[in-house]
Amino acid sequence: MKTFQIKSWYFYPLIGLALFMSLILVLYKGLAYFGIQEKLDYTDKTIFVEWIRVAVHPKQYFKIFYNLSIFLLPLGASGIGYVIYKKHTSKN
Amino acid sequence: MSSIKNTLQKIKKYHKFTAIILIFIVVFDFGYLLETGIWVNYYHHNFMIGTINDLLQGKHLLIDTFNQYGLFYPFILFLVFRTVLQFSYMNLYLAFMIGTVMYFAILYFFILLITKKNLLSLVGLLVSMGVVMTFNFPTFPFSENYVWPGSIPLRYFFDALVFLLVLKNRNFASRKLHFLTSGVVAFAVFYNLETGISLSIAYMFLLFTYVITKPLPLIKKVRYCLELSLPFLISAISIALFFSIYTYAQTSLMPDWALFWRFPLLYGAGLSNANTPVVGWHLYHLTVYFSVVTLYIFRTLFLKQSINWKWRVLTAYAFYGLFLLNYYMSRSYNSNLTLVSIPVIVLTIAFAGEKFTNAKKEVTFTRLISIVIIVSLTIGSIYFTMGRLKRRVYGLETYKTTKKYPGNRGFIMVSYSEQEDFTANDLLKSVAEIKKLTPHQKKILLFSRFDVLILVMSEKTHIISYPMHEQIYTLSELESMKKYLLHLPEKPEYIFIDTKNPLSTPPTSYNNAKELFETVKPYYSFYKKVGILDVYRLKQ
Repeated sequence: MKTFQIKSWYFYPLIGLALFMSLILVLYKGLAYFGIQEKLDYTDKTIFVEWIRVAVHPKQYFKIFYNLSIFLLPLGASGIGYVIYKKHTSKN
Repeated sequence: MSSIKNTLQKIKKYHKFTAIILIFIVVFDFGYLLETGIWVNYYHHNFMIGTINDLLQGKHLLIDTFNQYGLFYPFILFLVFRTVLQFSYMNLYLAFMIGTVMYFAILYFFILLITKKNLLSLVGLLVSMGVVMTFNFPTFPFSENYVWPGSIPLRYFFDALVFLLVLKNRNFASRKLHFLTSGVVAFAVFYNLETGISLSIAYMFLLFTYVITKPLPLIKKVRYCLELSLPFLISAISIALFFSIYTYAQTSLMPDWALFWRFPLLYGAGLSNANTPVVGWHLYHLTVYFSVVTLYIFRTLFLKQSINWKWRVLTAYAFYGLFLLNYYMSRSYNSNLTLVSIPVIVLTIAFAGEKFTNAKKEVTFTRLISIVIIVSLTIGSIYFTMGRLKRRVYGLETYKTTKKYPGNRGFIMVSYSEQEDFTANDLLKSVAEIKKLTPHQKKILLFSRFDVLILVMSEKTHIISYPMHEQIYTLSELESMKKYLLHLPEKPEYIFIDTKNPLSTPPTSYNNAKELFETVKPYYSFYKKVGILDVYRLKQ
């Protein structure tokens, strides 16, 4: 049986990126399932004048995840990538 | 074959001249001569020109007027109209175009500094212009992107300049250049809050990651980080302070900074948000940005390996791209995506032009994908630019044969989507009457769907502290304006109301004007009808 070989360092963070992104997506869907999305996306439309209410479509939940991902995703991905890298290189 | 080679050689040799020609072909149009759309185009201009008009009529930013695009974006345009250009809708279009030309010229030098390849930089410039300026809007026959003040590169005017300066200042070696860059970043925050904050976060990211990867003791790292961030912080505080002092000197009032972040908060609350599709071109943006930032962090922070200055700056640029993409992530319309696509194009160009020593198969493959994307975008840019050129010729031909209305600030010709019973002559008559009845007043009570257009043409401004009625978004604001009008110490002698609502299905933005009119109507009696406006006079 052939062993899996990673030749370039940049594969590790990219694998980490895929794994951490999956984790974020699971968290995103999971929290939405428990009603967090509904809670965060709520905006009292009655404060607006009548004609503008149709143009109010809150998506706070999505934006919070997106903005947090900008910081957390590269860090988390690199962290996971580094763990795989360490394990892999110590084996070899 | 040899002639193509010769042409390419000449283009390489005269690349700056070629860049200028390219910019003018893609970006320059005659809309400022032809703009006609009182009914369509002006609507979008109003969100900028309303504020500029207010300033020209003596109002002050964050006191009795504001702008959804920021503070210095409208203020710079106000200075331009105060000093260089005559104030009109058409010249606003021209100013937007000149600003866009300047932006792409700076961007060209930024790309050139990254790639150090003349031909590739020209391609990068063409694709950037093509995607932002020609891929997005279905143009009206006589006007192009400059109709949308928020959808042209002027919204993030300083980004290319900042990254160009940073790229030139390797390892922050030059203090002067560092102070200058920090000052520009701070200025950008006040110029346009959303893009300015994106730029400042990316700048801070560069400073922070640069310091943290330096082989220094922690205390020294903290001190160095503070030392590098200080010029930005001092610049930002100085600008806010200077603006406050200037405003206080002019009005004896301190600026209401809540008006500065009013719109980002409103948009944050969901105003004009749209769902982001699961699959789309934005996935390419996300892949490129996240990959670049992650690879950088992994290599510098975890593997503790060095990275060259160019890719440090480009990583900060990718980080900036992620924040800039917020504009699309919030309001996911295609035109918003093309607008914020320049960073991903520049990064793709940079990768395609990178020289890799002993490149592995996967690097070569990724580079090949970048080249394919750039070639496709180049073909698209050429195709859409050709389409624009045809429209421009058509526009010019039409301009020659259409009746013109010179000497007013509103329009040169009227031929597109004209509303029945709302002709240019009616509008001109109404404006003349406003001027005649209120010769000494700068502030008037006008209630119209076309309030900004009429105010600009008649050289007046609203009595209320809003550039346009439409920007009264909340019920509490509307109530407070009603109270304000009811308790005016001196009610104006005349009020002007446009009773025709061109957007006929209520509720519309016209409702604000109508409700305000109903509030003061009991104090007034009908006087006469002139053009599109009913004039009411204060009861004795």
